[in-house]
Amino acid sequence: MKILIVDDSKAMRMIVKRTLRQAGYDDFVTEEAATGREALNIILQSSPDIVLIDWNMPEMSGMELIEEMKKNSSPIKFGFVTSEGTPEMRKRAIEAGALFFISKPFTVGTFQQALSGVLS
Amino acid sequence: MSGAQMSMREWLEAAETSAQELVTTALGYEKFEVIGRLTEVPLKKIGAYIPLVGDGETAKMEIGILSDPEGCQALSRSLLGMADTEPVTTADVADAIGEMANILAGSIKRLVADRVSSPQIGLPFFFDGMVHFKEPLATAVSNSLWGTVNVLLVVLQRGESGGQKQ
Repeated sequence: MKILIVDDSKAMRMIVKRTLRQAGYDDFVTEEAATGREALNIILQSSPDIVLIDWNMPEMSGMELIEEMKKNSSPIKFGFVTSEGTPEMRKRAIEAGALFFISKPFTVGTFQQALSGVLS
Repeated sequence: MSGAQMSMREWLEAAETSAQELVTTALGYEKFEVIGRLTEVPLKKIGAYIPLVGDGETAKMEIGILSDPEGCQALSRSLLGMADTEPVTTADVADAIGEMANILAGSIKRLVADRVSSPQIGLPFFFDGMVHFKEPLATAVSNSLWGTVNVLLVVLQRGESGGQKQ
């Protein structure tokens, strides 16, 4: 199984990888993208099983990335890992097809709860 | 949105509540303590600011996390899960402190969502030295301990009402 982490912050990509390991997903292959454009290239080349997306990114936001994913690739599971988290944004994310919405700061338990049904 | 416009004291309290969550979860420290409050930002600090704005002048804020170089390095190591002696680059510190500001602003945004119309957060910027804002500013600073690191949690209000609301 392959997990793609999309976040413009290298620090946050590292934290998400560490949290995935701590949550028990240490046998998954993780890939990283710092921009939406980079993420699209990886999606087209290696078809990850799930994509974890930040909401606020320069150049292409998380929501814009989802729109591009829908245009350019076969359906891929995705969810948000973001500092956002108002009810309105959660609603927008779910309506766009997100399977989960993890708000920062998160815990290992948050990841386990969000991903347990998605990656089983 | 409901209720009156938030005072600087309410903004600072929201920032402190959010900082406590950040400190005890993402940074993994047991201790978060407010040891005092200031009305000015001390000179020559390093850190990051991030904008948080609302529709209709309900908020034009900058939220900041400031410390000294050693403090920012220690916070960055904690966020990145590095050992205390492990070298950390300036780029890593800028990225980590910016991400902390991002997490902090997101948490504040959730707390103030019923007081601020359509709150939006921008992208963080890292600085070393002093930031000069052109507009008048109201300032509230929480002098705090994050673990053993002395951190200034800063709330700035931009715009015409800046400098008047406390």
